[in-house]
Amino acid sequence: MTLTETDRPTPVRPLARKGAVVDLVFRVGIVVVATGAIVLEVPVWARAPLAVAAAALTIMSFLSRYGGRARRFDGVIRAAGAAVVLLAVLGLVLNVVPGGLTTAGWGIGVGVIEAAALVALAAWRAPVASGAEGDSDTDTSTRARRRIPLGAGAWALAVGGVLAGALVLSTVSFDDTHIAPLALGAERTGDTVEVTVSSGTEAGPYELQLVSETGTTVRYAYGIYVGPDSPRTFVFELSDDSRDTVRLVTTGSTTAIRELTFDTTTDAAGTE
Amino acid sequence: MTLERHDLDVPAVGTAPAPVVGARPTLPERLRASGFSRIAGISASLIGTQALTSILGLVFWALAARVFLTAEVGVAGAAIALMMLLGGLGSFGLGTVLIARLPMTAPDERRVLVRTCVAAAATVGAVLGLIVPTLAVHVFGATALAPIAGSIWPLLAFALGTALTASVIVLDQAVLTVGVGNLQLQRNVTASSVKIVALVLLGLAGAQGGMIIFIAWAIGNLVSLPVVALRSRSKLAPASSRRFIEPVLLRGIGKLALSHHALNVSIQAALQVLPVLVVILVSAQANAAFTAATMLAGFVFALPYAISVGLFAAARGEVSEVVSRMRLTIPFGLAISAAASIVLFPLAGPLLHIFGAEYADDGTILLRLIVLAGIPFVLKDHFIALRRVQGRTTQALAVTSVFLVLELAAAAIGAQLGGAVGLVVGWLAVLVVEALVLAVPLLAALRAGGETTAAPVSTEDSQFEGATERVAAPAPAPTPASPRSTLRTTLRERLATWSARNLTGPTLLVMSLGVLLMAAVAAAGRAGSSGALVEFGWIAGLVLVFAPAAIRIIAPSTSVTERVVVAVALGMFLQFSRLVLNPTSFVFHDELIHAETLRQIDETAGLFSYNPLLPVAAYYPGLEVVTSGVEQITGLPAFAAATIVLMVARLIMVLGIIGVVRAVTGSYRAGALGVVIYVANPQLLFFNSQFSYQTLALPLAVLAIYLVAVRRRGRWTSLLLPLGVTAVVMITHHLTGALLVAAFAVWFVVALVRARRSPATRADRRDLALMTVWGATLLTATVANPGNPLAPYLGAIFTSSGADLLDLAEGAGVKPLFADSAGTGPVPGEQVLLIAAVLIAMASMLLVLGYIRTSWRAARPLAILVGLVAILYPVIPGGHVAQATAEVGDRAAGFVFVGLAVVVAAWWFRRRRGSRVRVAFVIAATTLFLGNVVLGAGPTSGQLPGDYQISADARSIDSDNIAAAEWQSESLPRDSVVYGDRTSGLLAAAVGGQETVLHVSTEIDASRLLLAPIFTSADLQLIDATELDYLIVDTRMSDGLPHQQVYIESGEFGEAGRTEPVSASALKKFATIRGVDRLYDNGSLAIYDVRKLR
Repeated sequence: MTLTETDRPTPVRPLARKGAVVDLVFRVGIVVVATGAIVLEVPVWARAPLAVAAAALTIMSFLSRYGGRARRFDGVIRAAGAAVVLLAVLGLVLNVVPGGLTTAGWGIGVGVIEAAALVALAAWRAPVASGAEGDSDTDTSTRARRRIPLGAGAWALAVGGVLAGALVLSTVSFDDTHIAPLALGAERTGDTVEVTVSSGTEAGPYELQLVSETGTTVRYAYGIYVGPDSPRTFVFELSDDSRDTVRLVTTGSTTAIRELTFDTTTDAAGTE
Repeated sequence: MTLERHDLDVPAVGTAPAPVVGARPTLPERLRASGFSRIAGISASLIGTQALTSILGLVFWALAARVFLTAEVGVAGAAIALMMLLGGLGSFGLGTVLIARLPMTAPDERRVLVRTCVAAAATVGAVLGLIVPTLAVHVFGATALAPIAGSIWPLLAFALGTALTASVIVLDQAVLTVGVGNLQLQRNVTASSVKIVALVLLGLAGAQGGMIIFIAWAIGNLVSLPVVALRSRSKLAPASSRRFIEPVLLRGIGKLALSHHALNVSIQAALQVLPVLVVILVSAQANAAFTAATMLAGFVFALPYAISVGLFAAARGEVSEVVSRMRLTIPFGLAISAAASIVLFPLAGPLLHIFGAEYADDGTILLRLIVLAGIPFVLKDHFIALRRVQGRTTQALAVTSVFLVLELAAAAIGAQLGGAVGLVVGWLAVLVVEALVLAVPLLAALRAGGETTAAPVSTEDSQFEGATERVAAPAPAPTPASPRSTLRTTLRERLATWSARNLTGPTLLVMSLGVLLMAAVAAAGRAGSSGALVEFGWIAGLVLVFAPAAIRIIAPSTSVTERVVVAVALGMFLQFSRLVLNPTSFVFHDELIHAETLRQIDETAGLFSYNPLLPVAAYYPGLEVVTSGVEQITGLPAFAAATIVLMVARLIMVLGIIGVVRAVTGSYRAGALGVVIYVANPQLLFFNSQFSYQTLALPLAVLAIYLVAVRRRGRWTSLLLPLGVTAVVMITHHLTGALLVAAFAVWFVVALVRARRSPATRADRRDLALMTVWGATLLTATVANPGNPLAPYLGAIFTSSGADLLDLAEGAGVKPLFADSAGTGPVPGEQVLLIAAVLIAMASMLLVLGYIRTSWRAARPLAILVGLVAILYPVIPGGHVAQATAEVGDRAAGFVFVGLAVVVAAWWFRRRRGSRVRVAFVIAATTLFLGNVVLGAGPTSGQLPGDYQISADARSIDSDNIAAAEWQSESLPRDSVVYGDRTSGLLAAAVGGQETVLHVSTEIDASRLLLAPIFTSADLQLIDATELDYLIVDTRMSDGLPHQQVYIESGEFGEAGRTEPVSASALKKFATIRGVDRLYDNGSLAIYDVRKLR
């Protein structure tokens, strides 16, 4: 049979060890603050770090129970899987409670799960190493902590820098090349039409012309310049029982580059 | 430019002083004890020599700036920098060879040896001078270098100048051993003086153009040669041979010189290539200021370099001595460089006024920035000095080479983003990172106090260490050249030693460079670049990510931790590549479907709503629920939250693969290799990295298998997480859920049949039965969810696949193997890759059969299960014979490769493999990876961003249809009923917040509204039946055939036998229909209000 036994877990120690309660209160306190930030929907720059910190504390508490290479691997994969499972199950639960999947619901739900997990982990499976002074494992881990992983940190910094550079390059390139086109859009309310000229780049000068069904052309607006944050809006009153066209032309030209039509006829819909 | 950081002379080194011991020494005593005075003496001499030639160089460039136009100076700066680079390359380390060889060469052969080396360098330099600029201009389109290689005469002048440069580089090193005082200094001063005179004369003669400055420079070098000949005549005996050159004298000495030469080149290249980059990427005018700033900054750079050379020269090969002295020279160098930066900050402008006001205006910021590089240079130069004395030049070369590529890449990116200033910032950023990285071994050496030295260095290597730094004395002991076999053995031992080190950091850095290259190529694609070079860049990026990971994972000396880390990074980096392709929004067909579900969850705060794009997707909302959770908890935008979820999913996937392979084989090493095989599956790079339900369900399914395999028997709590994971799979993706249930069932049956008598497996059978029943129950529950349209959805897929297969059996409906519905497909090279990948995978079926047989005999149920999964591989390429089955086959890849990963990894680690087998394996795996990318995602040209293509998934998403969707979101009532082509319809729902009509959701085929050439009563009936509000028309559809078989959806108007694009009249017909308003027009898309027609 291929099923394998995992290593035996470290022996259980009580919560009563020195400093454990303070540590637990601190961790749960962070979770409470994070939950408050989520429920109150504080801005993302505050909410995201707090939420990540609370999640990280919980996950680190979980991982601290997994020592040794095999168990550490097991801990990481279980932590990642459990996080996804808990979020999915919480979403299903929220779906059936009043209010549904709201920010407050998510915040409270995740806060309760994290706090419960922290208490459970501290109460039932306190790590041996942290409570046993003079223990060889403790010494080893302390030494490991004292030693600053300069090499790994420097390489991680370099790799992270390159990846960040790649992302910045892509984002800038995407933003530079995905520029909104020159567009003519309208919102019609009865016989009143609000026409907006917009563009992702500085463009102009243009003219707006109103052409009636009989061919009469009215130069409605001219010298129109538009840019990324400066669309121009114009209001038209349509003629009754008519089919009017609004044309955008480049100043000095007679060719329409954008064109909208508005039909106020009351019958013969669907014919040409 | 005139200041070359490594073009320095080193005077003779005296005897080391006795160490000072006793009570706390005074500062002078400490300085003496540290050898600082000796280092300072050498450094001062170096700087003095350098200063004299540099001042003359400054005069030259100041004159040039006054006499010639700025753009001409820029061209000259680039040409001279390129010439120095190519000349350095062309010298091929022969100067180093001469330093080592001349003392042991018979006096009557020395002259011939020098001539031979100079001639060889000149020849190589001339060839490089002809080829490189020609290729740059005529092949790679670097038109900014046209003044150099645009016509024959400047090109010949450039080649001649490069040949001269290569010659003088060799000569400058050779004269160190001749014993004629300061001959190198004399030659340099002569050359610099003549350059100035030549420049003045040419200017007075009215000559114009950047290449005139270049020619003046070359004349200086040319005239300086007779000085060397005359001054060295008395020191070199007449040649015994009548031949002018004797190539045979060079035999057997090139390889050893090469590594040192390569190290020198890798150090120098950045400063020489940067001016060329400025000309190509910014402008010749910008390079004028850049050149001037670089030259002034060179004074600052020379100091730390001189100190590091002095450090090396004074140490005389003693590592402990170097380390001891570094304690003083590093802070000293840092302090001097920092002080120089501070002093130059206010003086930058005034100093650049030497060249002219324009230079001061353009170059002040550049100079202030460039001079900052002096600080990281201190650490870099000390690192190189340390590695040289340790005899670890190969490692130093690897590190400096990698960072050279990084520096140039960052500079190029910076130039694209921010001109010359951006280039310097990019270069500087990498230099800082490099300094931080290189500080680590320096600190380690300082901590160790030089007690730990590197692997012993052969006498000959040590000799060349000194030679590379142009140490004039003491002359190295004459040692005959090593036989080739000794060299090979030494190199192999070095490689083995190097390979045994922890190379996680360098490996990840190279892999990240691959991602950076992919980002750069994607940026080029967005900017409109296309063609073989761009596609090659993309493939090179993929190889850079994949191959180093494969190499390290199968290397016998790699640690388990490194293997696992690299394997995880491989999966994560490939996921990251999806982000650099599309960094800000969902763009793939399936992504937009699930983005619509996510939008509905966010807007309604409820699940199982109606998704018009694919109704069944809303009934399996696991991915969207988790994403919505991350979104709500962190406050991040939907796309950012989705990116985090996808990264976590990929992490679970790679860890799950490692875990499953380990559960079967008992080896983490095999697990890491399993990831290499798994990521080569056709769906991983694109489809299984999308925001799509399978992307999360598949990793969770693998995790469930892993958790069951490694659970602690006899404890019911150990089944909690597997049960939870299985439940989430069932609510995330129907097909993955069904396959997971099937996997548990097969596993159970195999355990029942093959391991019945084992008491240990009784509990296993019970647990497996529980998992099977649990999964099946939940899957049934999801299907029974009211409104779940899974049955008709899957039924339609099976029906169309069956129909296609039936057609195939009757000799019809065969899909073109290498073309999509628009007639485009992989280029021949990609076809070869694809076929090779299929053949490699098919060959592995032999392994799979053997594996199943062995596992069956050994009664290993999980191993049998994965073997049975792997044997399904032929379904993947086989599915491509018909349209409908191609998709089914491709989707199977994510599952089949789990089995293949286990089998191949288990086979590989059955025995120790030789180096040739390992190389072959890496090549085969890389081919499998690249070929399967083409199989799963189509030709490279289609994978990259670029111009709009019709119905081509991500390539159909552009600023025009995004703008139209955003307008719908802002201007139309929410959830209005709209109809559009495949892409516009998706965007209308996911971005515009509208309800798109599709046959898959309404069972109404409304495609004639867009595709029929004439408006008829049938259109009115369709508008009425669908209660249509708005019609979205992308007029570009008439420009060509769709790439994804259809303009809108399967079974559309005119699909059967279509050979012509939809007519333009069909797309314009609503413009003239009474009662229809045209509300939006952006040139490509128009939106019509058709409510009055209902």
